[in-house]
Amino acid sequence: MLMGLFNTLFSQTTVQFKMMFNNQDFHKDSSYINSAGEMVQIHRFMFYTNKWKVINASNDTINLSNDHFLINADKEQSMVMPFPQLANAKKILFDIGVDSIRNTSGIQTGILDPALGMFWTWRTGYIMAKMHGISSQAKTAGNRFSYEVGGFQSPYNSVRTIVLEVPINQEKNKSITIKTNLANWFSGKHFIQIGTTPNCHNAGKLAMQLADNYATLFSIHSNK
Amino acid sequence: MQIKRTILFIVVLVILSAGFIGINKNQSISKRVPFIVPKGWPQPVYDFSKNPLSEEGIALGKQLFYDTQLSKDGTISCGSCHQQFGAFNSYDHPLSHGLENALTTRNAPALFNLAWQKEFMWDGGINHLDLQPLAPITAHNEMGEDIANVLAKLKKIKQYPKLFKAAFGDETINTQRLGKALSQFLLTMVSSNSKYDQVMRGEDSFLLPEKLGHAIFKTKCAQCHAEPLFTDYSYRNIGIPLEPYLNDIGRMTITNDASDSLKFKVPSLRNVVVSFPYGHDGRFFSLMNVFEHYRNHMQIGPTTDAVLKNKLPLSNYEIGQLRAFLQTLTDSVFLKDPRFAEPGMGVHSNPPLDQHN
Repeated sequence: MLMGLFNTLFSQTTVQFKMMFNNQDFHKDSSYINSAGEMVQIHRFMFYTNKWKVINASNDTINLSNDHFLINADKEQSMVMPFPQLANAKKILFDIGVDSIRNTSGIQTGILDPALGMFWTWRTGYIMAKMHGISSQAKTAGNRFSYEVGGFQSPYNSVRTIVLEVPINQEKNKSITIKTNLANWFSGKHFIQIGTTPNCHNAGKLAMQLADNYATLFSIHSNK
Repeated sequence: MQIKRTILFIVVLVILSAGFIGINKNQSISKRVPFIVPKGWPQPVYDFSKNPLSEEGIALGKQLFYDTQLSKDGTISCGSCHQQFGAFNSYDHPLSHGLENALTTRNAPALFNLAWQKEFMWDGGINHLDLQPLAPITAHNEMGEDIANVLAKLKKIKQYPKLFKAAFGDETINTQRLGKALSQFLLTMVSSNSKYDQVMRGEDSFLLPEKLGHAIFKTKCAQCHAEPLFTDYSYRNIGIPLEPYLNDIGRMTITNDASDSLKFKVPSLRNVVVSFPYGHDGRFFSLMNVFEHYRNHMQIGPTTDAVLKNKLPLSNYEIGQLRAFLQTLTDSVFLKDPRFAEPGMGVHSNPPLDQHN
């Protein structure tokens, strides 16, 4: 009750990611079937995001944060974005990946510390997003698949900007949930079969296809 | 009156001690070390404003460079594969060795004049000196360690929190400080005191073969091995055929561009005589092997460098003079500088015999 009043007064709304696999809630290590009919169990799913903005009803762009965030499907608190105010948001914009300047200016600290493992040491660059798991269709040791997508330089820049429409009938004092459909990792734009390409560990064509796919993971549904 | 005096005494005492605290604070600030650019050299590319050199930072970097705890099993340090008497390359090893009998896929390059180098590794995949050490530390066939684990180990070794505090102001040990400290030490490794340098400064003069060799060098080699750093840091295919077991396509691994296939970074020729073997996979044991490659064995392909499309014709006479000139690029001051030697070990006064050149 008090919380509701507080939210109404300050338009206090948060944004959070909700991991899904098509229409099912995503659970680590549960089995799902991708659009190629392959069995998929995901151990790890992480991605960097930054440049959060909203466009409001009067078409002003409002910067929400200059920080990078590391979203980890294993850590509930990493999926809640710490933004104070999203009043009258018409659109939400954010990048998947790490800003190019952070890829070219030596060693970063905090959430961008290479010690977190989202960084290629043999060739400079952040892993923008990674997905590890197993599939009986993967012709690899332990049936493991491992997608680590990066690359910050043209023509293989894997950063993607996401623009999401906020539904008009959105309840103002409720948090906005960004549905993150992991099934699209394999089929959002390009068809990626684990049986033929179980690994990605470099910038290049495959990373670009996976990046095009992860650009399609996200959607906002009315919270009414 | 008595009380007033006491108060005055206390006030004076407080001011004095505050002064002392101030002095102590100043003393704990690390001692800045200027970076001196040799006369006639270009400005370095390293941004010293982001990592100013200090005595404490350099000392910490040296300690880390020679610390085997940076490897997974505590057997390998940076200095294991970068040995001072070979201008910090790996003595007589075509491919350097990693932990548990692992072999790497490339020849460990000599280390010097890194402040002028923009990209690192034979393929140029690493774009900042601070980041470079993370590659060998984490490579499974080199030091095989995890960055977070290295940091955890350093935090537990008694001396390190103190050394990090002396270098950076507090005891925080993180990846950035690890990289910066190693860079500080590496940046001080400037090689600019060879006979060639002394001749250029007017302190010495070439013998006739050296002088003739220098003239030949300028017409046949300097296009890529540009003075005074003896490299232009470009990537070129010099007609080294693909090694079928290593399958190393060089620069193309990084750019995914077929026109970069089999291109590797042009190495500096400073200290070349002591830094054998040569080539990205160390396939050339002697300078003679390299000359023979250029004049006879080059494999011309679609990405072979434009200046080498007809190989590099060299007469026996020219090779003789070039050898004499290349000898003048050895910087014996650098090779024996105690500032770079392993702590407690001293400089190796008798480097192993050169069996090849």
